[in-house]
Amino acid sequence: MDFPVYQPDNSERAISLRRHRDALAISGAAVIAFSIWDMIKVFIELFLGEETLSSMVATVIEAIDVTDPEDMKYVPLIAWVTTVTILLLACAAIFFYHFIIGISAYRAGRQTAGKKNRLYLVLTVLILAVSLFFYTPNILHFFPRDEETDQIGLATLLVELTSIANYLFLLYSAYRIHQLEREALS
Amino acid sequence: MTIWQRINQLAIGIVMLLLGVLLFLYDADTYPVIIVLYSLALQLTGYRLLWYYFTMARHMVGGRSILFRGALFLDFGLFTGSLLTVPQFYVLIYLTGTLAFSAIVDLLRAREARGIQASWKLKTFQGAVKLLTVLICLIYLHSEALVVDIFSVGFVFSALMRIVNACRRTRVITIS
Repeated sequence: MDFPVYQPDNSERAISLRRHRDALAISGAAVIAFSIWDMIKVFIELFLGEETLSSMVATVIEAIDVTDPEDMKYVPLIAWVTTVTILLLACAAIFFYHFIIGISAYRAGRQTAGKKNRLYLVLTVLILAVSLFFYTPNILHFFPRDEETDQIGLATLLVELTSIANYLFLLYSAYRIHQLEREALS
Repeated sequence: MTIWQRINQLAIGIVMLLLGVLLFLYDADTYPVIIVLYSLALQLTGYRLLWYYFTMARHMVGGRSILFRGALFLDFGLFTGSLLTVPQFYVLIYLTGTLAFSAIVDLLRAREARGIQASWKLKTFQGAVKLLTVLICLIYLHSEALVVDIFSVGFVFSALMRIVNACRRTRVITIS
């Protein structure tokens, strides 16, 4: 009996293409995962950490001086609502940005994207530039080891470096896929 | 289960049993011990995964996910270790949450085992008792001393079940 057996194209180029597509999909999933973990960490730190949200709001309330004691009742409520709203909006925006990159890279890697999309690569370059801009001082500050540098700093640094490496991996994989596909056509 | 997995499960079960008894006897003073152990376990997982990545998984298809998993585990472990100053009540809520999660996992696995005519009664019992413990914890949430005791009973129970499961003979199915 003849079974329809899947015959994969195992040429050098096809193997390389499969590898890079898989890497692209994993990088995309990792972008989303890192983003979610960052959000969780921000919220845990704000509610349970040393510099909590309540102390931040307290400084804000102190900064506003209201002459009328009758109005003073509403100030804490308004301050809280505004702070939490701004925080949630900022988190949602940052997560959405990462989510677009992640889901586009994942779809491109798994070849389930409807049409060719290059926007996420531009977004990745942008976020890479921003991360490098913000993290380079951190990294430079960390490496001449002071006594103050603790394990938390090390862990944060590790995650930062991994996420920067992740963006680079993503761009490299996308570039290689582009190159290989063009070779296949010609 | 292989012999190493059995030994591993047995060791985890014994540590959990000890922690449960300590929790029952000394109430809130045990929290730092639990947090430190939990953080150490997560950090070790992270280091192990990173080591695995740099020595082997680098060359595998899809091995890069090991690197990301390792970094996240390590960060989570170190971060958990830094939470020693949190209000202890949150730790209890967190631990109860993990118990509820494992109860749900047990029940789902029992349901799956029932579908393929495997033994499912012990797992269902385990999941049901854990879920019951969590519910009682939630009911008595207003008095912390009582919740700690109820939770420690549930913790000891789940440790005992882990030891029983590690020692139980399992049927090996070979596919030829």
